[in-house]
Amino acid sequence: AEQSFAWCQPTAALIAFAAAAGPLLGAAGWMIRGADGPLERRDPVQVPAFVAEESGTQDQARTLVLDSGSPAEVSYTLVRGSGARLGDAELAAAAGTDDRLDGIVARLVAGSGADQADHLGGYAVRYVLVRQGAPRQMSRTLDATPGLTRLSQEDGSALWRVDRQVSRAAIIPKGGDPEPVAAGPVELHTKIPSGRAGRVLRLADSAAPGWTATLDGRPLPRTTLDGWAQGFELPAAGGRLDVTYDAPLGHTAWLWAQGALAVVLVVLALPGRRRHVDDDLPEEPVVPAQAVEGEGRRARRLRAQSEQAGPEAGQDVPPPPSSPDPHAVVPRQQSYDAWEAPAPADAEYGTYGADQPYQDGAYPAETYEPAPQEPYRAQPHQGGQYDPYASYPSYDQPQPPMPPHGTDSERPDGSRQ
Amino acid sequence: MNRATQSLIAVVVVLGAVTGYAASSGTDGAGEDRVTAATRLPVERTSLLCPAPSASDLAETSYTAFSPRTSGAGKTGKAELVPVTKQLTDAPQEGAKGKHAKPFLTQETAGEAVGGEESGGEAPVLIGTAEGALAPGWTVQQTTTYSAGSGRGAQGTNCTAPDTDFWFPGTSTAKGRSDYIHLTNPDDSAAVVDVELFGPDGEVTSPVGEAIQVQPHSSVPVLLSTLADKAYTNLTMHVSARSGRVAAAVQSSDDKLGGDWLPAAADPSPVAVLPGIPKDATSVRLIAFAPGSADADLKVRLASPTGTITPAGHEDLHVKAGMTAAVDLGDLTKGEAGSLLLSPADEPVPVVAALRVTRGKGGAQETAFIPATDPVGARATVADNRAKGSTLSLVAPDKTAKVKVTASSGTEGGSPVAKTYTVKGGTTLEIAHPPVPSGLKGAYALTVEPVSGGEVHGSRMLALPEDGIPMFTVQTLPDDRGTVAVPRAKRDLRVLEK
Repeated sequence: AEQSFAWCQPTAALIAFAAAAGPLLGAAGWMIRGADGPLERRDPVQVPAFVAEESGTQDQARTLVLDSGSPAEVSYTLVRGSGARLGDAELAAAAGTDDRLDGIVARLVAGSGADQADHLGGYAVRYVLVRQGAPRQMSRTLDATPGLTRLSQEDGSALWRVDRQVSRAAIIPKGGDPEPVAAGPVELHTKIPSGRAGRVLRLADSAAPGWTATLDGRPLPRTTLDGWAQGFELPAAGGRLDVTYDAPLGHTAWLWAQGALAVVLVVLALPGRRRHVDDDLPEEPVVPAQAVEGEGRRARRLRAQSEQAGPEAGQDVPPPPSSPDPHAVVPRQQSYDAWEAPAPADAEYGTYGADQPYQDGAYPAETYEPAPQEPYRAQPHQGGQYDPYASYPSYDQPQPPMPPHGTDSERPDGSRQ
Repeated sequence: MNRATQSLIAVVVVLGAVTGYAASSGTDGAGEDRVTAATRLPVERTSLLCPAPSASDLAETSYTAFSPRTSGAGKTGKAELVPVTKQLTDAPQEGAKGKHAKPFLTQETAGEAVGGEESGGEAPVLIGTAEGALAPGWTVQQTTTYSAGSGRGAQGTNCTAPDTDFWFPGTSTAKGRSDYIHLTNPDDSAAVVDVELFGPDGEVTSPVGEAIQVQPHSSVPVLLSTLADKAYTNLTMHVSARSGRVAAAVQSSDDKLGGDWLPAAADPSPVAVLPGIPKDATSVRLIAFAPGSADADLKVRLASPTGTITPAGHEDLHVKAGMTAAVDLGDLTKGEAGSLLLSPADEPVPVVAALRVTRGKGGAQETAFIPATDPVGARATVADNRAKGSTLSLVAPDKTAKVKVTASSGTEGGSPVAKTYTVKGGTTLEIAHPPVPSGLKGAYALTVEPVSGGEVHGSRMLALPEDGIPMFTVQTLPDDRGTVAVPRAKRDLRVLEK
């Protein structure tokens, strides 16, 4: 007992202090800094306003955003519309790296001189935005790149336009200039005019088996253009063009499975009736038969005392100064029968006492019993009758072991008095 | 040890483990400090623009094009110089593309020099493009000689790549001198160019210099005296493209002193190297300009063949911000080839600088310009060397360097020859007889590649004496930009965060 006294108290004090100081510090921090972290409010428009506006048109053009901290490395991203949206990071990670686009961007920034504007056009890039802080040389290289026109320079970031017809979807005739086709963010539903045979529809998106295209309901044969872009062979006749993207079956199934798992998780987390409390009850009647009679009465007497004495009880029984109050309130609502149930606790306590022999000697049975009873008594009450506080019992359970320690050390004092 | 202690220890251990794992694996981004240098790769396309050589009927113009072999560049490629048929106007014209013009000069193999000639005053502007194997290091030299009239003498220029920003110290609007700025636009869209002139007391540009339109695939010459409010002997010109890109070169002609092309000086930098002043220069004038907002105090030194000396009486030069400073250095070189080194006396302030060099005496004088030049870097090429008359000057401002000089095959015959030279630190090495291809016919190109040691700057003087006039022209040898540093590009959504 002395041993545990040596470090238990400071630890308890420390924990208590930490518990008190934590919220206080947190509150102070909020008052000083504001309570907006770790999420921050941001402007969803990450490109110049008119670029965002124009990117919403039927061309569905994209913006290449560049940044570089050192001449050896350049970071970029392709955005559509006003900027990145929630989930884009995950999609980009899932898509993996695009070596072809990496190469185009690297050569563009290096100023290799090739027709980078044309390559960018193939990705439906209409604007190139260089973020503030990028090396000046990068701006100069872009200035000197044929096919790029500098537009403006605001708040340190610079913007160039790709000088060619740019659209996400285009009909490329044999040996001619591409004609843009109205496109949505993903799907195309539009009418196309008739043209010469051998023309193809080009989407500035990676070729994937999920793309399907129909012209007046007839499916179009798919091709891959430029080694990466999704294309469809178009007949000479025009008509109603529909291009859709169907996610692979496995992916759809996985999404449904994730949804189902989320539902299961919610169900599991719902507060339910604690059926296992009923399981406890049958056990109790079995054990009490042995111990109840002798000890239960003393316990009753003590309890009555404590009820009457109220605060005074603290003198007689210092150990549970806090317990009398809550327990005193609770028991009144309770029938005697139920109250008897705690007896098993005594038995348990007895076994516990046996574990620590030294208690046996100093053990004054009379004074000793009431204390354990009180904490244990709480169990049935709360278990059986305080269902709404389903979580409360579970909190109490760890407690009982603690009071014994406290009572052990203090009990002798109390008994001597 | 009782249970409470055990569980406490267990909790502490578990918390420690979790915290440790989170700390070590959490922010992956902070841990990646891969210091990988950008890889150098050959360029894929080079664009060069040759201005209209001369309006003189007596002019004889020769073109020499050369592209050294580059490892890593493609096997195939093509280079051609296409004449711009309509020009010399800033009004939009019909058929501005000049699509089907017949190439004036075509080159298909790297490592071989090709040449062509034009005569008379009708020689066109040439727009050159080299792709594939020929793109890295493609160099075209245009040399014009005429023996009478303003600017008579030899006028040579390396055809220049389009850019957006140029500095020309050493221009002038003085009486007897006519300087033209040739602005050439190789692209499909019009370019808008601003020209600013800075005199000894600051900017002197008239409003005419603002927003000069250069139509697609065309060239516009502008007489500088129309841009300045009055005559100035020494001016610095700044050409910046407001939109589009242009090639700019200044053709300077003097009634008495001949003339030459003045190429754009190296970008403003606190240190300037002006390599290769001919040993028989009779008059050397230094023109410097500080584009920023701070005055520059420059130390002037001359790298002679034996070491670096300070020219007596011209130890330093004070250049006021935004004003052109000029100083006549006289016959600075005293019979020894040299290079002028400008370095900051105290605070490093970026400057641009150029030399006007005159050879000959009395009525037989000729001028050329030597602008501040970037180092040779990985490789530099100068085309149009003749069997006689070429003088290569190399200067190593700091450390001793070893360079390999390769003579290409000739335009009409001859096989390549290479030789290695050592340039001692702080000295100028004048190579009066650079390697000549064996069995040379026609003109050839010289390629300079540093092998080891410090930085080297260079220039080549081509002397073409005629009628007792020491006609000559000087071309500098900056890095040929045959390879560019290609950074590692990676897709990263975080660029949107800032």
